[in-house]
Amino acid sequence: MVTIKLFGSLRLKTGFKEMQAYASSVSEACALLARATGHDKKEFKNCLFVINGKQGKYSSALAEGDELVLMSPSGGG
Amino acid sequence: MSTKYGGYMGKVLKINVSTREVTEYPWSDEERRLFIGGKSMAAKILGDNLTSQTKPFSAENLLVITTGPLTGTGAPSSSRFNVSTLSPQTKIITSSNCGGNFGYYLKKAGLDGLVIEGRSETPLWLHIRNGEVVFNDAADMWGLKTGPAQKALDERLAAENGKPVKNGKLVIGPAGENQVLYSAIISNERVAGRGGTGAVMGWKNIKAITASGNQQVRVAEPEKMKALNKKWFKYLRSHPLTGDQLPRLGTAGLVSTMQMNGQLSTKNYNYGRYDDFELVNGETLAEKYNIVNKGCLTCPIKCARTVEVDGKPVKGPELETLGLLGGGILNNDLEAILKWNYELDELGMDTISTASTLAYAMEAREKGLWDNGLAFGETEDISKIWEDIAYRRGIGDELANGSRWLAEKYGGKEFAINAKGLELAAYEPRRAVGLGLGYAVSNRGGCHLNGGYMILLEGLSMNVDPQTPHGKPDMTVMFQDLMEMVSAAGQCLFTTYAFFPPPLISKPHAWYTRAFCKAVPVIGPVLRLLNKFPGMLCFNIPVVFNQSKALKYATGMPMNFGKFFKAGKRSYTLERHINTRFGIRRKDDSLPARLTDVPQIEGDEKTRVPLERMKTVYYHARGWTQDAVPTPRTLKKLGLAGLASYKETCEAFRRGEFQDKPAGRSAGAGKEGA
Ligand code: SF4
Repeated sequence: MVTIKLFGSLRLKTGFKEMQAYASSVSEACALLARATGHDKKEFKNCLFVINGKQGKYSSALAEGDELVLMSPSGGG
Repeated sequence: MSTKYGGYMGKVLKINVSTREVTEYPWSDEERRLFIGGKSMAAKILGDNLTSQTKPFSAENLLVITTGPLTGTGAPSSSRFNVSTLSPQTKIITSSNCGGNFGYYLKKAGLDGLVIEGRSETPLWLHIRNGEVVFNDAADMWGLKTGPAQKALDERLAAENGKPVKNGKLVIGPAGENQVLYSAIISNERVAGRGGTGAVMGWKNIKAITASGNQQVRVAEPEKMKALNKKWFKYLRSHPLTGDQLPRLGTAGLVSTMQMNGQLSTKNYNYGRYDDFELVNGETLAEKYNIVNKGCLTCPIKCARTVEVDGKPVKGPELETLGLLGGGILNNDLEAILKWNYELDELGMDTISTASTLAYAMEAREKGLWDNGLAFGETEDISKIWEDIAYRRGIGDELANGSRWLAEKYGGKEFAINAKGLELAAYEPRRAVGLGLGYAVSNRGGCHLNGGYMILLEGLSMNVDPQTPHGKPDMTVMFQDLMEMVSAAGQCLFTTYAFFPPPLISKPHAWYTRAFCKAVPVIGPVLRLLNKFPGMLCFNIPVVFNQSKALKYATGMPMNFGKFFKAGKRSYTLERHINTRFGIRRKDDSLPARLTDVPQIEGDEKTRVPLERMKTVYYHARGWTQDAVPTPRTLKKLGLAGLASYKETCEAFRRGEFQDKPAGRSAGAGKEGA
């Protein structure tokens, strides 16, 4: 089981915040999110990925207990 | 004095509030061409009038309020105005850019700017109507908070005219009246917050300035301007940052990104991550508290939030406020931040400096340096602290002087998080070292925007290695200069985020985005060449960079990207040239030792700001001496040889007063060496 969290404007667009799921890779997590929200997988694929506080890739593997954060692009202030 | 250029009203007024004398300030077309407007124009005016002996709280100090030529032309996000003065907080010149509608109404009143000198004996409200200045007594408004003061102004204008009068307003609150060193000027809900402009206005006994009128801005090429504006609005609305992230989340949306990157200042910059960030981030603000998105006049971005405090719709907090009054003081109560943000605006105080000064005080107590009763995470009585600061009561009287002053009295300079006396925003620079350089060298003190805002590339929007110093000094120079001129033209700096073509932002894993990010650290020499010879860029950049073309259409001046860029360089160097007069040297372009000497991640030396290394390259790229003084050659190259102070500088160089080497160690030069 991994924890998947979404931040940024995509969270407001999809209404998705967080879930616990079985996923062995970031790509699998993106597919799960696409199914859960009805949004295109590409939108999640274009997020930045952070796994347990460190930057990850679309191809990164996930292990039991990991926290995966997806962030859509952010700008300045 | 009229002008041949479009975009300007052709008139600047000088108002002496001691004698109540109003004259036209001489401002020529040559000066318009060289300094454009806004902060650059204000710097020229301050430079011509302030001497090294001028004190911030003195009749000789000027409060200069300026607009840019794009204001009133229908260009997107262009209703801005600028306030500059000799800052009581930093003791060097400061500029504060503000949205709202005052800039637009000042132009409706027929003016490009106001130069205010002297000190009134009694509280004043200045009303500018179609170029005429009316001096009104403001004794009955003195003491009012900024909301009631603005309401009173509308009521008085309506009573005098028999109907409501559309107007732009500037007011100060009790903090400005009591010369809190970081007090702000408020315009509607927008804030000219930085550098203590409100304290200077308060010292001059000016409670408010209003502007109204029915004049129109003449545009040199109206059809072309209209067509460009149409495309520009469309582009900004389609860009992932200006058309999606900022409208949806405002600047508050950055909290989560900064947290993930280790860039969210936490517990007075001890750490870069705050465990409770999800309770105080932009997503929670949007989902639970935001009622409606608001924006300044003519702005398609609409980055402002509206929230409810005590059943009343008020402006929501920006990222800096969320960061510094959240994790910065270990507070996870978002409702409290909404309330404090409102209270600080009502009192007329800069939230960044207030929050950072409070965090310093909490740490000073924790370390046993100052027994002030404040502690991280203990926030029940904070509203009372704001009032104590604004009215200079009890410990508030000392807190009102800011973190630099406090550290000089109580010690702990290494954790008084300011640069040149101006407190830093909520971005932790040890995990974005280019931003660290920007904070340190910024002309107005610790400001992320005036510092070139490298963090946009170092993790916020792009993925350039945040820990490498390579390429950052040259990139910083370039960004500072472009942002300088965007601001001088009268436009919001947030439009600059759209300089990056949408695919670079929305496709972070694409090969071209990765290639761009990898290239930045190695293209320093190329950028240096462009920085040295901006004239090479004698073209306009279509779609993503409309500012130079817009200036051309609005004013009729010959303008392209290179000229625009060079005007930014001129302005940035001019500000530094003036600050040199007030003693600013390399040693002052510093950061607290916590940020330069203590790695954020224990054992990882890369997670501190290698400041001195970057400064050496930065000064070289700027054409300043290694002691941070612009050389006569650089001044001349940038068209500044006509300044009265140019000759003095040449003579000082001849006498050997300015050496091409550092005059002393920076405060932050400890571990890495000078
Ligand atoms: S982006 Fe925000 S601050 Fe800038 S002009 Fe628009 S609403 Fe105002």
